[in-house]
Amino acid sequence: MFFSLSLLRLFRSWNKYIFMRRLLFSLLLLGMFTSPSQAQQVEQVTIGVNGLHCSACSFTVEKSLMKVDFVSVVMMDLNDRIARVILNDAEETDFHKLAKAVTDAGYSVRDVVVTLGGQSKEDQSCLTIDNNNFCLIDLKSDSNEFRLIDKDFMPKKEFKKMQDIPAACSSCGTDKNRYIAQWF
Amino acid sequence: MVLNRTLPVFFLFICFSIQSIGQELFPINEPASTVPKNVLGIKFMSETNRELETIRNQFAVRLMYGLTPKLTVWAQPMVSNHHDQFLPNDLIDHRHIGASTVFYSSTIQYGRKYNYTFSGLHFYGKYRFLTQDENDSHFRMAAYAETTIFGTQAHDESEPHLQGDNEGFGGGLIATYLKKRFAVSFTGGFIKANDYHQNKQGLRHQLKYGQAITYNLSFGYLIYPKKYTSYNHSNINLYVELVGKSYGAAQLWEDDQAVEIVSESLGQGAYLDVFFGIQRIMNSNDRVELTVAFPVINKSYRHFYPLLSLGWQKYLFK
Repeated sequence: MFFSLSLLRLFRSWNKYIFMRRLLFSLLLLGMFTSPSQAQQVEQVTIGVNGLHCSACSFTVEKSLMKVDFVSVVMMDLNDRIARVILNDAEETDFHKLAKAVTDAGYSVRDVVVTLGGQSKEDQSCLTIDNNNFCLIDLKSDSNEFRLIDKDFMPKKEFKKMQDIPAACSSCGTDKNRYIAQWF
Repeated sequence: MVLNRTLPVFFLFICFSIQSIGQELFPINEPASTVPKNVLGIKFMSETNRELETIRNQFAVRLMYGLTPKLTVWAQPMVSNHHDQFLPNDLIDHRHIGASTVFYSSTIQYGRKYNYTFSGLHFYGKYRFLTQDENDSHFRMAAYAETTIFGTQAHDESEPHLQGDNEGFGGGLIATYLKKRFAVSFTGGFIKANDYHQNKQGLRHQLKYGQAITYNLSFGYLIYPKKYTSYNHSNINLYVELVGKSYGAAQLWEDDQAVEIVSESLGQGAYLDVFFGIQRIMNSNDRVELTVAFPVINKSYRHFYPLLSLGWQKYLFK
């Protein structure tokens, strides 16, 4: 809409200099207003929960996850022992808080898988979404999901086997809010 | 005879039909799992048995709280008509041998009617120190400590019991394993009861209860639903819990003179009870359970059989 109005004004202009300036300005506006729709965003976080053994326990995990300030919706699947979490549009998203909510309820995190929405991903090893930097390994071009790698996001035994991975990610953003992730 | 038939059938049932998700929310024994952090739970409990012509009841309210994900505490006030506030007059008898008088404990008359009185405030703390969670199983271990204070009743058997009869303290370890629909848990612990003192009609009595070790084994099995589709699905669970205790003989003094322990209820003992339980969990939170207990090896002098227990528990989420 905004782009169309800008073009209309361009055609009405008879000054070439002004025309060029407005053309450049409109292209800039085009870039500004089209890039958000292509940006990748977190569509869903799926948390595998170990130790769940009853619907009452599942209910407890759901209640604990709903207390996290950036969580909008939690859907528990007790048969597969997973929690599907939809995030709200809060500026700060800390995935460690999701893991802590599960352990606070008395259970363990099996894995945390982030599903991306928006345009399909580009081939890149570094991704910034909502102030979080994701250092991505094991690139798979047909995937829009990656799992987070950290002691908080998987059983300790499994994390110990992956100790050398974080070293390869030092060039991906700053240490703050940086997650190591593996395409899933 | 009935137990001899039903027990093997029940164990075969739970061992060969393991499929999906198991249960460890035992009505009698505590599992190693803990209350979620910052969650308050409430449980109402009653315990009933018929002692000759008298119905003995105990009522308790348990307020539990998850201080941390691994540390659970509770406070539990209790009321019962189990005992009087003084030891029974017929607890001590005497005989004369020559010029001397020998005092000895005698079997008291059972079935006396007592008023309902406050029987103590029980505190319990449990710390889960080992957690090995897998997708469809887990193994957890916890240590617990417990104490009872403000007891007002004169417990007249050697067997110590902190949830309703004695003041004192105890502790132990819990190991719980869960695999799909089946859960098993072992609890081993000890109880050290405080001595009971009374001064009645110019006579001073002191009763020192036996120290006890406890050994409990619980089995749980989820029978319904086969597959969850909603939180509104009721869960129905079956439980078999073995509750065992070995304890030493009591020591009794009247005006600082030792009383010979003759009666069986004040002697040392060991027994094993079996509790059959059924539990229904509604809306994934309201937990209602019924258990009935029978003796397997020897008998407890603390209660008659069958012992019927009812419980209702709920977590109060913020």
